[in-house]
Amino acid sequence: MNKVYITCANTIIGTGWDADQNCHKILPQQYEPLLQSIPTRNMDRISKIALAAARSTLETRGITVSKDAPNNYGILFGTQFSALDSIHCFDMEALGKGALAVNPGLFPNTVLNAPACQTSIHCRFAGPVYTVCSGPLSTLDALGIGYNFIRSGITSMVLAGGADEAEPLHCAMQNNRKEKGEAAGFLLLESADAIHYGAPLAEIVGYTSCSLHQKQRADLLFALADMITAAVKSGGVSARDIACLSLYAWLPVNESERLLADLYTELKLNGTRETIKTDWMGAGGIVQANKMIGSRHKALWCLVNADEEKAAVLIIKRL
Amino acid sequence: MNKTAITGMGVISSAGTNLNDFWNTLYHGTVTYGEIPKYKADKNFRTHIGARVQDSAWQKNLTEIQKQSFGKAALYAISASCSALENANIDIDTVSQLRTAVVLSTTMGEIQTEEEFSEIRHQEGFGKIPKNLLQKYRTDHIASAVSSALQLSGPTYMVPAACAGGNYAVGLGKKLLEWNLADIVIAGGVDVFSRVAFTGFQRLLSLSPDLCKPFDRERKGLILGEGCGIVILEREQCAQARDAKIHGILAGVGLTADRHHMTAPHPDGDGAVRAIRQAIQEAEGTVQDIDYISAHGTGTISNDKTEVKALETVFGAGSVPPLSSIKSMIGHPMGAAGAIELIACLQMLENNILLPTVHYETPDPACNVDCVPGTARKAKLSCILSNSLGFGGQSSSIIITRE
Repeated sequence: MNKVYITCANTIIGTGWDADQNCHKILPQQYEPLLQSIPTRNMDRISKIALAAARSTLETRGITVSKDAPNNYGILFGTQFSALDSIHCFDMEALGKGALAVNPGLFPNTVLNAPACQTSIHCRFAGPVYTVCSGPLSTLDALGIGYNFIRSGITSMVLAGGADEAEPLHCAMQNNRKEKGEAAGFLLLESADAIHYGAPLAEIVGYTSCSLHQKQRADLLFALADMITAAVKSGGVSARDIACLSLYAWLPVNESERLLADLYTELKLNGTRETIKTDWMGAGGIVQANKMIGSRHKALWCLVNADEEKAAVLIIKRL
Repeated sequence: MNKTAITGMGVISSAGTNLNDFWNTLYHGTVTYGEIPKYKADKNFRTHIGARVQDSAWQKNLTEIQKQSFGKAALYAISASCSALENANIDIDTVSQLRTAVVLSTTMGEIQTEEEFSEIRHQEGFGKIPKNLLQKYRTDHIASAVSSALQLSGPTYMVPAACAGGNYAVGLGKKLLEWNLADIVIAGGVDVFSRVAFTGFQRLLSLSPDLCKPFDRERKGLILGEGCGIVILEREQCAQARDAKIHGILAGVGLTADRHHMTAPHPDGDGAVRAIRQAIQEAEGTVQDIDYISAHGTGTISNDKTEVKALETVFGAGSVPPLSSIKSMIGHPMGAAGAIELIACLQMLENNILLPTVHYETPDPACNVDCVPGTARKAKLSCILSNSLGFGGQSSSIIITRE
């Protein structure tokens, strides 16, 4: 099995503030400069912010993929809602103006894999392109599947991460009172053999994802503890080595904090812990990973995502 | 490496909601699409033909609570998964005790739910959309609904990949077994009939006004369909240990991207060529091993031409094995197409019969292939290639062989 390294990371976090939606929005100036020379007519916003994050990651790493050059590079794009806004706008326009009046150029935006494919087309990645819709776990699951793609040698390089928008429809669907936020980001995952220059930022050492089905809180605690133990064991480390435990969960903030504290005690940890309080939709995992990379705290990180039905754990060694 | 066995199949299609009806409909070359009254009555639709699931028998596997809680795509997925497990002779206690994963794909997810709340918003305003309707939309709930209905503990993934979706889901399912992250995988694809898709394909001038005629010179486009295909994947040794009937071995998977255009295929079939070659390589076979190809064969001018070009690149002009497209009978069920066609392939393998491409009349010099025109044909089958190509340049090929 290959070792899997994170060699570059870039995340666009919304810096605008929409008071009506209680939401951090990604502003045009955060992504449009990153799309220069890209034909974006008819490309929807979710694809633009995803593509901008991907291009930024590749540019930072100094990677240019030439057109039609053979490669097996993969994309793992996590998103809870993907192109929902484009689908809804297309449908509303058809209902309002009639089906013959809608712009056919906007129809390709209505498939859920559109942002991942726009990223593939413009970054020229020719390998598998997976869109991963796992609700709030989406980007963490995308990172975990990407990790396994590299680990098992299917591909030598993967852009893994994702994006979500927070339009009024998304916020209404979330049905919680949390502050919302938009984020788009990718980690560049490479196998040891593929790294020709530069030092990796981190190494992914374990991943697990399970269904939980609305377990009672005590059961949820033990289930998460078991998942973390299994994930660290698969990476040849111990749960005691975890220096930072980060939780992004569907629960209200105070309940998330209590669950995290109990988890911390259950695993007998000594390091720091953190609850992600903003609802980043499916992009919570990439926000957690971004914090891990930004901290420069060289230690073992455990990123946990959970919703009513399922949970995912990613173990990363910051180098 | 342990091989991946396919031990169960469940299908919901306009051709039937059980395996026998599905096979008999296709074997006899019966067309299952027709005029949709709702669109005929609407002057905004110039084409009115679609393939819808008419038989309500698929609902037999569902509880009333499930019917109220989930969108139609999730209900299709639950029902077809139950049928597939029954076909695999695996009881619910077993799947809930093992690490059973769910990997499903779709093009548009719970699109009928979106269409419902769009209509409410259009007529009454945003604030009138019921909260419970909004809760039904989430794409991940389709796979979670299956996992919840069967009380599974393994990973649950929705991996939308447009019309290549079924193969993408089955491909990831195979990897979960190889990575030892699951013991059993429920994999497949689902899409429900969509006004959004019908509108969009009409505006792209991709819909046929009458017949779906893949590879025919007079082909006019695709017929939109719907459905769900689910297969049960296990390690071959596990399947053999429980004396399960193995319908076929999932021997190879090739997943690539055209990196060319959102709707137009690469003119040289770049992604398709690489996907086919990857699948053959993973199956440790050669082009000579392929006995039959289940073509993506949508019936559009450019898609069929490009697919044949890709096949000729891999197999050589004049050396492409017999191929056919069951879309000529069931239309294009989008994200479900790959999985439904995989089930048809497994049935062909079992019966040593090639299903036909119906309505084929006029040869197209750009599609110079044997497309098994008109009627089903006997053939000795050991190895089948199935292609699915999707929006965004998502290309996929899988290979199934006998045990």
